[in-house]
Amino acid sequence: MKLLEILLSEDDYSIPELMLDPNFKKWVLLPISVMMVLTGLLKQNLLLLISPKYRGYPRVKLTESQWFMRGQMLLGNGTNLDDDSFESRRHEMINILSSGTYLAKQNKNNSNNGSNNTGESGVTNPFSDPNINDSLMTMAKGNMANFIPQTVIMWWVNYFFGGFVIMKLPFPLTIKFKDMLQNGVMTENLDVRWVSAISWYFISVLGMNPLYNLIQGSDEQQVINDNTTGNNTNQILGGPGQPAPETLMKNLANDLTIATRHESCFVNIESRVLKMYE
Amino acid sequence: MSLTAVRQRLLTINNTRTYVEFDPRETVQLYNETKRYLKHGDTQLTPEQRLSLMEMLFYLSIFCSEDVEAQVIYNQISDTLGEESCKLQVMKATLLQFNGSIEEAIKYLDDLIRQEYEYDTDMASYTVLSKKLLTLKLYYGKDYNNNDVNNDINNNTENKQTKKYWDTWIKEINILIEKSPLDPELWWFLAKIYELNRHFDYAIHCLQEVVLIMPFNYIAFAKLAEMYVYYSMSTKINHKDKVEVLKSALNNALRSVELSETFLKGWTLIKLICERLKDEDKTRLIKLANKKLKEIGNESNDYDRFISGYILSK
Amino acid sequence: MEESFSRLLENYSTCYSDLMEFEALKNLLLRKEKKTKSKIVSETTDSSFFDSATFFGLKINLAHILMSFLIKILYIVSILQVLHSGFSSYEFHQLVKNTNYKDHYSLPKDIQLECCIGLALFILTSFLSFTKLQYYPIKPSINNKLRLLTTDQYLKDISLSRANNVHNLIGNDPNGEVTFTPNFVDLQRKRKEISDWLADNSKE
Repeated sequence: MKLLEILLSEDDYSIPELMLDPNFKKWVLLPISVMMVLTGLLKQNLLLLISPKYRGYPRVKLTESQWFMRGQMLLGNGTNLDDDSFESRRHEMINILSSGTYLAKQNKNNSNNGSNNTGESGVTNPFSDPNINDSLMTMAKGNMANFIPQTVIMWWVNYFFGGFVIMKLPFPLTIKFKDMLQNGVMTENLDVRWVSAISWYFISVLGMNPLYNLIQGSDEQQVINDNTTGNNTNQILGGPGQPAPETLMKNLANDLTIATRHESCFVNIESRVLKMYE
Repeated sequence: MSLTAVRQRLLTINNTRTYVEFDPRETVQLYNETKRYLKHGDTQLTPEQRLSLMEMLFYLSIFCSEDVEAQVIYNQISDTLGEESCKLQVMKATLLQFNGSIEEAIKYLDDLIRQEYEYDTDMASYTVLSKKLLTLKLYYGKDYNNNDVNNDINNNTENKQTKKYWDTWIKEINILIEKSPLDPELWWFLAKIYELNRHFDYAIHCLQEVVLIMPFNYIAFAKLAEMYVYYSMSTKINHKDKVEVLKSALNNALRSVELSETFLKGWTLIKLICERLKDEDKTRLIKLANKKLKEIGNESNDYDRFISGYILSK
Repeated sequence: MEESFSRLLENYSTCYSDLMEFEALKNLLLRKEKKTKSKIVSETTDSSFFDSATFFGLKINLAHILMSFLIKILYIVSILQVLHSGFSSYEFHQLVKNTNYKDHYSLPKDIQLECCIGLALFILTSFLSFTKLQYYPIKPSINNKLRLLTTDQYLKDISLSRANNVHNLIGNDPNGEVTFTPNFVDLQRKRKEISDWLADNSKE
């Protein structure tokens, strides 16, 4: 009631700092938001389309990496074995790794004999490798898909919605933001908190990701078990910038030679189980 | 009402490939149920899950000799996915095997592996195709197939020809293992073959490889324990060694229940091995096993209830 | 190789009775008990997931339906409350904005209260809406029906030993892709088995 009285007494009625046309909401904020969502979705689908195809490897290369990983697994999961089996396996793996039985190198040399005469240097020109060129290209494509829509929308916002402020931010800003957020507004002394359409654009850019996730639908884990053999990570030896597979194998063989102190999980397992469940 | 539970069950069966272990009654029932479920429709089924269920239905219809339907399902899947993936290629080979001839299927897979997958593959595809090729060659292939040989893996007939037959299997699988040593299924199958031929020590070696690759596979630990028990019975080893082997068996069984509390097979094996280890005092363990078996009998599904009841009553 | 094989066989004959016992156990462990099997075959094969509710189950479902109805109403009420309080607060601020007495008036108590009650109700309802989790066992049981198994547990246990309890409850082997060696199935044998079974059953 008191409120109404105050409102009705016209003496105290005063004009706030700035009055905004409520139609701004309808004709500026909404179109920008809708446009942002649509382009965002378009971009995501575009990225999906230009994403690189799964690239395979020659089988020998995979065999090589798998044998390397087998050595690693022996080190990592060796506790699952009793001492004797671990010892015999350790010696076997040391032999295999240090002799390089499963190295894919030989085939590589054969195929490269004609073209590559740099020989032992081991470092090849990264741009001569088609695989690397491929990955560079996909990287470039991804970047393009990111910044082209951004530039276009920014231009669109500035062109159609420039020259006026549309809202007041609930927090103060320093004067340096004036150039950016009040672009095209010719008032020198206006509080920086009043911002033009472009700042709504920025807010949208930063805050849109959860919305996209909602629209695209996150994958719910409904299945009791998914991907049971998930232990096989696609780790390929000797990628660009990595040491040669041969050295890696030699190092692993050395590690295995040192790993003489084996701790089996079967030690004291009886008392452990009894303690756990009794 | 409980469509969620149904979906979950079917997807779980598909993911774990349990349907290959079903007996005829269960297979036919599952086949009808999957068909009905897919026809009925489920809004919460994602397209990927739907495709995977269709793959299951494909194999189920192959099992039930519904080749026409299998062809239809294959066409549906390949319309959405194309024919590049190794799973589809295996399906195609399966269709060729029954609609065309086995030689055709073998040739198809052989060409694929030699001309394509040898040079451009990923971790799974090469081995999956090779496995299919191997089954085609060894179960039905001309070179190996003698009509009087019993190819049944669950039947251990002990004539020389069978032994030769299994030796080819072992040789072929070893070649494949050398190419991809991290495929647990290959190791497991090799263990199965050795078990069949009663080389339990070799089987133990293979299963240990599985345990290295999948460190928390409690099923494999229980299987290891089982193998150790067989091994302890199989050789003319003296009493002392026998006890040692049984102890290893017990260790592995204990490890399996350490990883999974309500694992029926693990507790059964513990009870059984403890009863065999007469010289040592294992009353606490036997008591614990009995307690756990009783718990499983009270809570678990009907099969496990039945089995735990049977074991406790023995 | 051949020698060792025959030697092994020899050894086997000495403990053959023991082995028989073990094969029996093995079959049991593989859930292939003959007794259940024969019992099963005589039962009807027709079972579906739509008519799997027993009488007892139906009773539970009635309570379940009532409960879910109540929960839906509570949800609607709480959401309406929150929305209404939001709207009221908006109106209030619009009015106050145009006066000079901005600082004199804070949000009225009734709007605040409404908002709080609405939120509390929402949270309470969402707690109430948790029902038991339902699972079907992987294999149908002896009478050919799928008995619904329930647990209260939404979150998995942290300790590894209990994380697999659901698998054991429903009789699932999480590593089936390895243990069942699905890529090495003898399809022709499988087909023969099933067609034989079908032929047997259609006669009856």
